[in-house]
Amino acid sequence: MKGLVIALLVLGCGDPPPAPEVCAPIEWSHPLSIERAREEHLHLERRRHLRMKAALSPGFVLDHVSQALDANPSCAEIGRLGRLLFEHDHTFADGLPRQFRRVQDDRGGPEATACRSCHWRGGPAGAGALVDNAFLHGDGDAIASAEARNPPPLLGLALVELLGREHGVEPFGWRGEFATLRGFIADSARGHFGIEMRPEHIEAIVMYLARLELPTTVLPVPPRDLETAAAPLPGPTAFEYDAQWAEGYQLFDEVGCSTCHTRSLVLKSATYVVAGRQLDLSSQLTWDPDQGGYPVFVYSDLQMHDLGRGAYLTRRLWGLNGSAPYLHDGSAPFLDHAIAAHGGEAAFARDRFEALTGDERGALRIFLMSLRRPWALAVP
Amino acid sequence: MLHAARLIPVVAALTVTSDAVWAPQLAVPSDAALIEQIDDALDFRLREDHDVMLDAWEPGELLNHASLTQGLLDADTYGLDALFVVGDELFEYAFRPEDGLGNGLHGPPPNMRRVHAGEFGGPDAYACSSCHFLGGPDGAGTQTQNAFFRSDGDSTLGADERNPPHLLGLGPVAALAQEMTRELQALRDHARATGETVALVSKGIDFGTITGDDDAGIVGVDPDLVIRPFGWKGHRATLFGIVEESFRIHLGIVSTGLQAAIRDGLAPDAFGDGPWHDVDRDGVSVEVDDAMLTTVVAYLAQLEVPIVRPPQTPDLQAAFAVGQARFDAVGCATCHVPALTLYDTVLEAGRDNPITIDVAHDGESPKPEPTDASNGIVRVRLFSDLKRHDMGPELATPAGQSNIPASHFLTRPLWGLADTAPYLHDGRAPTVHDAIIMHGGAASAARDAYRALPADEQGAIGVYLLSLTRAPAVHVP
Repeated sequence: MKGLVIALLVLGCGDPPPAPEVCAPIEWSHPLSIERAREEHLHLERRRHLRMKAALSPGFVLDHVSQALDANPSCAEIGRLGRLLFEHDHTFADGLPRQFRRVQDDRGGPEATACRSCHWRGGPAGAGALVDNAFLHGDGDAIASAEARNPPPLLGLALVELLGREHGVEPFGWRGEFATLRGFIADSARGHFGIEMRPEHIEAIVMYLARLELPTTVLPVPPRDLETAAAPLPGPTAFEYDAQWAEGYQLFDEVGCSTCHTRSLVLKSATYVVAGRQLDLSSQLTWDPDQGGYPVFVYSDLQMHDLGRGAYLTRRLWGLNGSAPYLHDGSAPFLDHAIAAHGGEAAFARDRFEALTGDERGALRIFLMSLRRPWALAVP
Repeated sequence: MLHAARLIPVVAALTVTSDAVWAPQLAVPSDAALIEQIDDALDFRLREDHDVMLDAWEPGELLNHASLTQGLLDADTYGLDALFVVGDELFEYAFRPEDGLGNGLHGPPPNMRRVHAGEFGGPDAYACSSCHFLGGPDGAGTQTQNAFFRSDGDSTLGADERNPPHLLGLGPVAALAQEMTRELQALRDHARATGETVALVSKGIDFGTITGDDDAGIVGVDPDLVIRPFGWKGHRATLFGIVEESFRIHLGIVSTGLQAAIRDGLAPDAFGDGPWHDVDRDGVSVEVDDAMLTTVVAYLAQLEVPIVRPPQTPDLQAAFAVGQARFDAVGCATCHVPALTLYDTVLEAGRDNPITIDVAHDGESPKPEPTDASNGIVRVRLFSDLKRHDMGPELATPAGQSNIPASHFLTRPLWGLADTAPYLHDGRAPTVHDAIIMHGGAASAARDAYRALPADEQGAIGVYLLSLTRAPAVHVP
């Protein structure tokens, strides 16, 4: 490769695009280990330190991150810097406009100062509560004038971007308006903070999000050795869910949920380019020779469907547990409400769900609640 | 066993290095402290997950678990530890229309509404935890969690905005208010009995004077001399009162106590046009009873208190010391009184059948620190005088709130401030500096003195205030 580059230069074909530096393989500490606890405490200290420095020198955080990014840091460090940006409360010195506007108009808000204002539930870069709904394309005042959008969890998005590219869809936004994560982040910062984010900062945030642990399927564990939390409350009963989970897994197909919430999509290449680096995302995936790629368990076909009250991109269900409330406007506090609100192309599946027995519905819910991000320690 | 491990982390040996680059040797708890934190966090998460799964299998199970009856409370069946556990679940629980969430007044329940309509409220949230999360459980809310009060149900610009404060240390705050009220009312009783002019001073805070029955000289508190420490303007005296109100306006969940008051003609009929037993017409009659509200109160009153956690690097430590001195010199500490002394740490909470909580001992650590006197007296470092002040026209709300004028606010306790940005009642100030220069009215002199400081000393006050924080601990979100 090096030889080829030199040869091209010698032949005078102009400057070839530099081959992206390859990131070291992603290595996570065990999410429930002392190492992770220590990392989380250090991250908090770092954030606290930068915030205090910013009290002495307004605008310090963003400049500090830019300088750190200039110093050719490792991909892991770029991700950590991205997380600091994700959690940074933007200030007037950072370019935050002086007037907040909870309901956006054509110019946007701003209604927030930090990404994590609305992405916090269920862990870092998680979902938002009902109160966190964004009100888009309104008149700057009335809730009724705007489109309400509930903040989704931001997990596995680099893979989603790659899937979108391979499958020819724009997978970001509830209506699928964006093809790339960086485009979506730039638009979000513009709309929600009124800030034109520096390109290197966007890359760092993408790196942070790309390196988050993927949601997965975790069977509920019966808490055998738990005593009562406090007498005289009864202790948790050791309830086995294995049979219910298996039944729910099947019902997910039989009811028709998996027609649109396709369990997996196949990804051919898991190489993601971010911050001028090449990041291998395959460490959490398994190559399937039969499918000729990595099945990614997103539980979505990434297609638009008419749901009766409008067309929406099939919501990815991975990480569902911990992302309540559900639906694009957060109008469903519980799974049953979300399912009941499915109409249009999904009406048949909704009707079948409602025709199930109570135990069958319970089994399906148990299965759905097993779609979650792995438990991980965090220092808020 | 409560979450006892949320103790102040044991600080590992410090290696201070140059501050040019952030030094990763900064304080991290010892392995022993970390293990305790992890055990605690995991234990809590396992139990929560167990309930979530039970509820997925059999909807309603979670709330059933989290409901204690008044009869059992009266019989003192449950100890404070149990109330803490159950109250925690209620705080986290996302209510549903089946539980009485919202109302059936404009179509099928719940009729959520991001902007409140008059005194009726929203409802705008499913759970308490929706708006109190920043910096950790029971934390503050960011700009996006602002509540939009007393508007027309739709217009954000016509609303009286409030940023959610953090909920740590509310037990000691309630106990301080209870004690100050007793002291002030005793002074009043003396004035009435003797006809004398009496200076109304409690814990060194000056609330004006009272002469006989003439209460015209009272300042910073209502004429009844009840210290109301809850709400940005200080409109609620008790935790029970603010919890009951929050359930109604934010979740649309009407208490049985309020139902009884409506039945007896004692409450305004602005809460709906239904019969007294389902005034909000959502088909759910018993939405939240006194026992459940008391449980939430018992939970909140047992939460940890924030701490002062100075920075770790030499330059910031120097700034911290300067900031601490300037905070006093500029006059911030006149109203943001760094510490109040609490003599009686036993708080009575609940409506008719109070439970008692020792706010210096019961529940989560850290707790207010004992004074030297070793007689149960504690120092509450809340940075407030629990008094109302006129903050001038710039900060004034669109209208008054009950009897409290538009420009009057309770001195916001500053403890735990580090994790509560944005600042001020409506979150208009992204930084501490912005918040300070937006002070007016009674704080104008202090603000001007702050503005006259060199920039590095202004920043030092910021460093000092950002060290008011909660003790860091790991969680499993």
